[in-house]
Amino acid sequence: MNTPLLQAEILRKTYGPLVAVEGISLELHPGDIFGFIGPNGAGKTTTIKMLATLLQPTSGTATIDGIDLIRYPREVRPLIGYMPDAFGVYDDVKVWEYLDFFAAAYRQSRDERTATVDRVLELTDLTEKRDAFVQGLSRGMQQRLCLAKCLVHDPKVLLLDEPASGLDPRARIVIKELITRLGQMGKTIIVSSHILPELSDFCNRIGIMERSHLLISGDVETIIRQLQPTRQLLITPLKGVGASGPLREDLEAMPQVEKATVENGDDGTVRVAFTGGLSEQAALLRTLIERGHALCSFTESAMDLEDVFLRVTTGRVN
Amino acid sequence: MNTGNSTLLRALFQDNPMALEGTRVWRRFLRTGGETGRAVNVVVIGLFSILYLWLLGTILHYGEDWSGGLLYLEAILLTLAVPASMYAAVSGERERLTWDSLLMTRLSPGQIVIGKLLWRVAFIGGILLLFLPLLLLCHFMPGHARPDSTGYVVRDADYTLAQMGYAQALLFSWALALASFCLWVSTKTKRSITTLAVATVSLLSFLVLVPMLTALFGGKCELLARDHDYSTSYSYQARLESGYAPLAVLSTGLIHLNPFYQLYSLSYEDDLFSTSSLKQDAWRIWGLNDVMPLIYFGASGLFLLGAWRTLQTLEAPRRTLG
Repeated sequence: MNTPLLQAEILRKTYGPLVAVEGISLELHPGDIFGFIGPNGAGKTTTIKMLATLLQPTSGTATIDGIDLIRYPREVRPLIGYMPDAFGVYDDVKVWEYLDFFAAAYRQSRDERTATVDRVLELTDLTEKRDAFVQGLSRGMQQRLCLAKCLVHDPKVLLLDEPASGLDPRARIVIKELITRLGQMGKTIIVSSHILPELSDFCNRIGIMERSHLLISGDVETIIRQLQPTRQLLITPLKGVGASGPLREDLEAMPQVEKATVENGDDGTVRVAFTGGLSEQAALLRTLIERGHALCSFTESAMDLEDVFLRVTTGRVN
Repeated sequence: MNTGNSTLLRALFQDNPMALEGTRVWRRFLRTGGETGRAVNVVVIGLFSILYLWLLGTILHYGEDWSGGLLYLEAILLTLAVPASMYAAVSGERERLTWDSLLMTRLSPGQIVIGKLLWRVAFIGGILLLFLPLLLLCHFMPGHARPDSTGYVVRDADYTLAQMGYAQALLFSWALALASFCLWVSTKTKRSITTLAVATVSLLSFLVLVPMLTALFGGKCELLARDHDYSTSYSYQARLESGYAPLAVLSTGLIHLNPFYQLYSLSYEDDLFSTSSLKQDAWRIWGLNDVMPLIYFGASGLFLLGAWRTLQTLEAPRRTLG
C-alpha cells in the first residue's frame, strides 16, 4: 500500500462563533481525483484554502508529501497547484508572458521557462493562443490558462475550486477531459463543485460537505453500497397496473427479495429491494417468466451521485 | 557570502519577475486600448511634446531663468504622479483576484516589494531626466551672461549647479519616499481606493496642514518670546518655558520636511515661517536642512521595511493551535 500524498486530520476553521469547517479528515493517494461536493457555503472553499496554505486552520493537522503544511507553508507551496474559485488574470500581457511570469516566480531559469510554457500550453490546448492578450481570451480559455498557470511548476497536488463554473457545456467538457488526463498523469486532484454530473464522470473518490461537516467520503462505489445495500430492481408488467398486484405478491414470496412495492404511475412498475447478486437476479427473471408473468421491462435502478447527495444532505445551510 | 549577496541582488533586481508590471503599464498607456486609445495617446504625447518644445524654445530665445518654476513643477508632477501610479500596487492585486496566485509562488516578499517599486523608480527617474535639459539650459544659456557696471560678465542664475544637483537628489528621494509610503499603505489595505484616500489625506496634511499650523503657532511663539531678554528669548529653553515652544519647534521642524519648503529654502536665506534662530532650534532638534535627501531615503527604507513585514505576515500567517 503506497503512502498517502495528502493527509488531513480533523481540520477545523472557525471565525469567531462561526464554524466554517468542522473536523475534516482526508487521505488521498497519487492519481486520486477527489470530488468535493456540497452546496454553496458548505465549507469547500475554506477547506481547499486551508490545504493550499492560504488559510490557517484553527486546529488539526495536514501534510502533503509528508510535509506539515501548517508549519512549513513555504516548503509545501511548490508541491501545490491552486486554482481559486474566483480568479483574476493580469491584463495587458500575452498568454506566454503570463505563464513565463509564473514560471519565473517559481524560480525557473530562462531556458527552463521556455520549455515549461510550451509544455503547459500544449497540455491545456492553448498553443494557438500563445501570442494572444490574456484579456482577449474567452472565459473558458481563461479557465484553461489559469489551470496552465497551476501546472508550470509541475505540482504533485492540484486544488481546483469550482474549475468549471460559469463555463458553457463545451468548455466544461474540455476542462473535465483535462482534469481526467492530469489524474492519469499521477497528480492528486481535489476538485470542488456543486454541480454533481460535473464530477461523477472523472472522480474516483468523493466527499460530501454540508454545514461545515464532511458527511461522507470515500470511493464512489463504496459510498453507493453503503447508502444502498440492496439492489433496486424495476420490473414492469406488460399488462400495466392490472398485473402489478399478482406480480408483487409473487415477488414478495421469493428468496432474497426484501421488499416489493408498486410504484406510482399507470404502467404498474414494481420496485424490488433485492439482496442477491447478478446470477440470482438472472434466476429471478427466469422464475418470473416461468410463472407466466409477461414482462416488458426488467432493469436495475443504480444510484447516481445525485441520489447519494440527496440521501446524505439535509438541504440546510450555514 | 558574496555569492549569496549577488544571488539576492539578482533575485531582487535583475531577475525579478515582478518587473512584468512595467511592461503592463507601458502597454496599457501606449499600445493597447484600440483605435480610440491610440488616438488619445497620440494627442496626449503630441500636446506634451509641443509644450516641452515651447519651453525649450522660450528659454533659449528669451534667456529666462525659469529653473525655480521648473523645480516646483517637477515637484508637483512627482507628488501627483507617484501616488497615482502606486496606490493599487498590492491592494490592486487583491481586487484583481491575483493575490492568492502570487502568494502560492516562490516569490519572496522582498521580490514583490522591490518588483513593485522598480518601474516606479524608473518612472521617477524619467521625469527627472525630462526636466534636466530644461534646468541646464536655464543655467547655462547665454541670456544669463550680461555685463555688470564694471564691465565684467556675471551670472545671476537662481541656482548654482550644486543647488540644482541637490534639488534633483531632494526630489528623487522625496518621490521615492512617497512611492514607498503608498506601497506600504497598499499592503495594509484591501481596496485601492482606500490606499488612495489615505495617501491623499496624508499628503494634504503633510504639505498643507503642517505649514498652516506652523504659520499659526510659530507666530504666537514669536510674540511671547519678545517679552523675554532678546539674547535668550530665541533659545529653545526659553521657548520651552513659554509653553508654546515645543509645538512651535515641532511644527517648524516638520515644515523642514516639506519638499516644497526645501526648494524654497534653496535660494533664500530668510524663512517664511520662523525666524532664523527658531530655524536653528529646529535644526538642532531635527537635524534637518542639507541632509533632507538622506532623511527621505531613510523614510523610504522604513516604509519598505514596513511593506516587507506586512507581506511576510500575509504570506505565512502564524497560528496558535486551539
